[in-house]
Amino acid sequence: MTTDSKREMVRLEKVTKRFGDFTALNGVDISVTEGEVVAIIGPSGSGKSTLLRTINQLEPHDEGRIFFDGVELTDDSRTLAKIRTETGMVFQQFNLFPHLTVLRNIALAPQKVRHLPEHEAEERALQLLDRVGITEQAEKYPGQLSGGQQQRVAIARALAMDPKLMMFDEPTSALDPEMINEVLKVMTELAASGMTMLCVTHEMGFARNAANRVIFMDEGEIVEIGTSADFFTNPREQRTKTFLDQILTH
Amino acid sequence: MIGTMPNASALSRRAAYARTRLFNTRTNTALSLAAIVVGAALAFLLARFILFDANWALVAINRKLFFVGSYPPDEAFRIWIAVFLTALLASLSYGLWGGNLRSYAIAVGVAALLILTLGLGTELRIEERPYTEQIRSASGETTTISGIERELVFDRGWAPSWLYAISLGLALPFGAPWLLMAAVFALLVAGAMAGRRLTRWKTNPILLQSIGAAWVLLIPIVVLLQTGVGVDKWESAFLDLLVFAVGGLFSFVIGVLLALGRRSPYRAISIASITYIEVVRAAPLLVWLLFATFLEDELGPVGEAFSNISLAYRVTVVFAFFGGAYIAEVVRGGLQSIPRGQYEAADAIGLSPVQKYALIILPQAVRAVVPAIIGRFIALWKDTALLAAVSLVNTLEKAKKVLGGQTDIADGAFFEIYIIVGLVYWVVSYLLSRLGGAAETRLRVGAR
Repeated sequence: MTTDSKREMVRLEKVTKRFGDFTALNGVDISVTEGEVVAIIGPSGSGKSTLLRTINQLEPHDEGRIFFDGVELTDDSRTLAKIRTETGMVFQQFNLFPHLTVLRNIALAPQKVRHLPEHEAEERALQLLDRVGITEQAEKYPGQLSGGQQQRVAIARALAMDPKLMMFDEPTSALDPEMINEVLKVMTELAASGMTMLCVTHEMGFARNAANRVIFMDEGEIVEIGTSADFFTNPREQRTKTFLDQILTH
Repeated sequence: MIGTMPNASALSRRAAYARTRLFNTRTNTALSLAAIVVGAALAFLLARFILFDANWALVAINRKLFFVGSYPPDEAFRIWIAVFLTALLASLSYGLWGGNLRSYAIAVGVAALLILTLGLGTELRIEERPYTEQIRSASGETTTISGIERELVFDRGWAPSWLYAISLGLALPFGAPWLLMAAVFALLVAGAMAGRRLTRWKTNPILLQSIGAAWVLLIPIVVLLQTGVGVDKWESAFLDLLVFAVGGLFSFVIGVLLALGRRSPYRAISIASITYIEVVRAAPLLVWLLFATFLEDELGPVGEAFSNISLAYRVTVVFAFFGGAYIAEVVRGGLQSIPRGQYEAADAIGLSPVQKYALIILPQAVRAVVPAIIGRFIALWKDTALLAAVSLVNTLEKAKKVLGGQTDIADGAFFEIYIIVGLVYWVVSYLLSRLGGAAETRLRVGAR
């Protein structure tokens, strides 16, 4: 590997997750190094979202081991607190808190979890809003914003805890087409700034241009991992080829 | 005048509505006319009773009994402090939450004027009229009965008696010295104005939190103020209000805890919560009140300790736990309306489980069910009527006692007395309903 000098941020070893009889993840191995941007693609139901959600333990895994920043995730509440505070997650449905203003949405966690003073937390929140380009919406409520604006607020909220890893779970899938680009632009800038990112996405343009590596998943397994240049031009596996044909033909 | 335009068009819209919906066919015209005739007749009868026939002097002289019962007059300061604190907080909140200051000031001013001009100068006297009546018995003999009929009347001045009654009624129910009354009204206005000035800091959470805390603290303060008198002295509307306020506050806390308990991942807690809710709701409140009254006989030493607790406290506990079971189900509905994503987002940003519920889930769940919660509170308030059944002297019981104990002047005055009882229940229910409406509009900000 070319990134040996860099720190390993996340490692999954033979991770399995079942929902009843359904196996969502089947012995998944992944390693992500610091600063790397990884796009995860695959048909729906292939376990992409579940993969992200086991990493921050929204879904505890059943088998295998997960390491984050050198620490193995157990059901110990301290490691749980570490993974939750040191990763940021952006959801498909934004999941902003509708009863709080945009500013409070972002400042809440730094204030309540990191115990930052209120003015400091809100000052940083304003800086983050500036970074995602919507400072003027600070005092509005999420319901008053467009989908693209809400998703950018959600990114700012996730960034507010200074995460070492950002995870995006189909961040543009619930957006109207004209709003997709404003979110992808923020994500691309974030990738360029050196953030370690795991993105479940259907945006092949983003996967090709902003990601270092692409992971293709199907039926709870990793079918193929490749650099983004190789992956789209020379897919090795037949399942990958079929999938790419399906989504790239139109 | 620009202002008359919308009125005129509203009027013509109404006329058009009447033409097309109420008088468009023969049947509809007949139904509409019948409704108008019946409605007008009822309104006329009611107005005639209220304005001319009713003996409001009877209500006026008993106003103290209706509101505080036989509360010792020497201890009246305890109630005055409660009145002052409540007036201050209520007016402050009204101003702060942007109520209409002008109509508020006009209402307070009219009330103050009535009291100072009519109410505090009003005298009552008993008019005695001799009467003779001939009664024909079944066998055809006639006997003549004579006696003296007594009626309590206002020493008339220029105003009609119902206006005197209102003025006296506003003069608060416990023989209020006019200086104290004037102070209450001054406080009501000043508080609202001060509240309005505070709106510039309305976004300051510390201000809002301290006002909310003051409201919650008001109830224990008022109760503690009363401890010197002894709860067996609590009667009438005052008793009802205390039982409702303390019981209602705790029922909310209990309800939220039960609702959370019901959804607890620990089976023991959720089964205990469900059992509690189902058992408590399975019997009428009256039955639980009777339990609280008679339990002491069955429980040996525990019952003896229990019987040392005043009945007023015991029924308050029953109100809290009974109300809590219902509020729990309402709040559970609110919790179920919160999408899973809210829990996940709260987890993902690192909030602890307590923070997740206190900051994210409960605020949203509770505001989703404000109308239903207010409904439960109004029901709980009216349930204080049941206190009469366990030998506590609530407003209703006091009214019966007045009717039964003052037969010389109150003979047959059921209507006057029960209208006042109804009014007591209505005023508090209405205030609760308005409070709920205000809370809904306030909290709608930021709704999805």
